[in-house]
Amino acid sequence: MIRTHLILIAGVVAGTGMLLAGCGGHNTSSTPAPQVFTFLADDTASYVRIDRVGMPAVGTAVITNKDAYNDSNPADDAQGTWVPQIQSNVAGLHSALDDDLTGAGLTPATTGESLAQAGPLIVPDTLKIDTAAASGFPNGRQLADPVVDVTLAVVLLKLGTAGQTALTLANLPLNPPANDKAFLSGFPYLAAPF
Amino acid sequence: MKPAFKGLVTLGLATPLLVILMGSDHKDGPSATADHAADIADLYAWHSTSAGTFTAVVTFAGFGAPGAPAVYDANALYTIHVDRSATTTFDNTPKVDINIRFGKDASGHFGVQVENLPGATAAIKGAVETTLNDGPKRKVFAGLRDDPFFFDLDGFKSTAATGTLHFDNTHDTFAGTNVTAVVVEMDLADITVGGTLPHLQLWATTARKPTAIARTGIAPDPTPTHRPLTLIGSVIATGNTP
Repeated sequence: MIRTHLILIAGVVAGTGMLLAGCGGHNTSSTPAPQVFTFLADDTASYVRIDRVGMPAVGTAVITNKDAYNDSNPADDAQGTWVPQIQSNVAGLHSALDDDLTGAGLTPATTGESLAQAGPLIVPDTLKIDTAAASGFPNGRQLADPVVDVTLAVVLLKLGTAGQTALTLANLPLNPPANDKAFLSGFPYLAAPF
Repeated sequence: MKPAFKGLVTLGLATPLLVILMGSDHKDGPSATADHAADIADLYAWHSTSAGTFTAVVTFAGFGAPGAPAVYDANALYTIHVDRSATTTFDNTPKVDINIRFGKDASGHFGVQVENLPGATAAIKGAVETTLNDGPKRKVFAGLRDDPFFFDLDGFKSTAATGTLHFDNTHDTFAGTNVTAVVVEMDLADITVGGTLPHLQLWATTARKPTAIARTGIAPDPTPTHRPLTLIGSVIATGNTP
C-alpha cells in the first residue's frame, strides 16, 4: 500500500516535471527569435540607376527624354541641362491653354513668368524644405497637400494678379482635394492597404 | 455629371495640358515603367517642429490591386538623398544617402534595412509590415499601403481621348489602389545638424544590381500587373506637342 502511494507520488512528480519542461519549451518557442535577414552589401555605386523623383510632376510633365533625366542628378539640373526641354514644354502649354484660361476668368502667365515662378521650385528637381518655416507644399510635401493643383497654378497662372495665388486652382478644386482614405495621425501615416 | 472646374470643363483642350496634369511619377519613363519594383510613384518629406521630427516617404510599385501583395525586391536599391545648407543655396550634392534594401530570412520572409538614417548609430533592420523603433524619434516602416496620391487620372485620360477637359474633382483614380511604401522618421535636430543646417533638399532614386540574379538567385519582379498609364505614356512619348 505504501509502496503504491510512493509510486503514485513519484509518477505525479515526474509528470509535473515533464509538464514544467513542456511549459519551458513552449515559452522558448513563443519568444520571437531575432529574425536574421540577408541583404546585399554591394557598393551602391555598383547599382544601375532606374528612376529619379524630386518634385511631383517634373520628370513626368516637362521633361521629354525621361530615361536620360532619370539617369542624371540634381547637380546636372542646376547646370541647366534640362532647362531647354522645360522651357519648350511650358511654352507649349501656354500656347495651347492661354485662351482657355482667359476664358475661364483666369490670368495666364507668360512663359517667362511661368519659368520665373516655377523655376526655383523645379530646378534642380528636389523637394526643398526650410525647416524654420511652416511645412506644406511646396515647402516640402505632406501627404495631404494638393500638389497637382498647386503645381498647375504655379506653372500656368500669373500669380499676384487678380488675387491669383498658388492655391487658386486647389481652392476650386480642380482635382480631388483629399485622399480616398484618411491618413493616420501617427507613424507610419499612410492608410492601411485595400 | 462632371462637377469639377466650372468654366474649364467644357473648354477644348490641346494635348500639352494632359501631359502636365498627370502629376506624380507613377510609371514614368520607359526604363522605370519596365521595372515595377524600381518604379517610384512619389516622394514626400515634411518636418514637424512641435514633434521635433522629420519624415520622408518613398512609394513605388503603384496601382496595386486590392489584395495583391507588396513588392519587395532584394536586388533593388532605394535611396533618399539629402542635401542640406545653412542658407537657401545648395551645392546639389547629397550629404546623406539613406539607403534602403530588402532581404529575406531563412524562412523566406522579407525584411528591410535602412542605412545612414541621421542619428542612427547602425543600420536599422527588421521585418516588413511593422514599425521598427530605434530610439524615441527614429522609426522605419516598409510595407503595403493605400496609395496616398489623389488625382483624377481618368479625367485626364478622357481629356486625352476627346480633346475636351473632363475633370471630376469627386473622382480619385488612385482610390482603391495600393503602393509599397517605405517611411522613415528621424529627429529633426539630427537631419539639420542641431538646426545649423535648416535648409534641406531631398530626392529619391532607385537602382538595380545588374548581376544580382546570378549571384543571389533572387529574380527581380519586372512585370507590372497593372498598366493603366499606357495611354499616358504614349501621350508623353509624343514629345508633348499638340
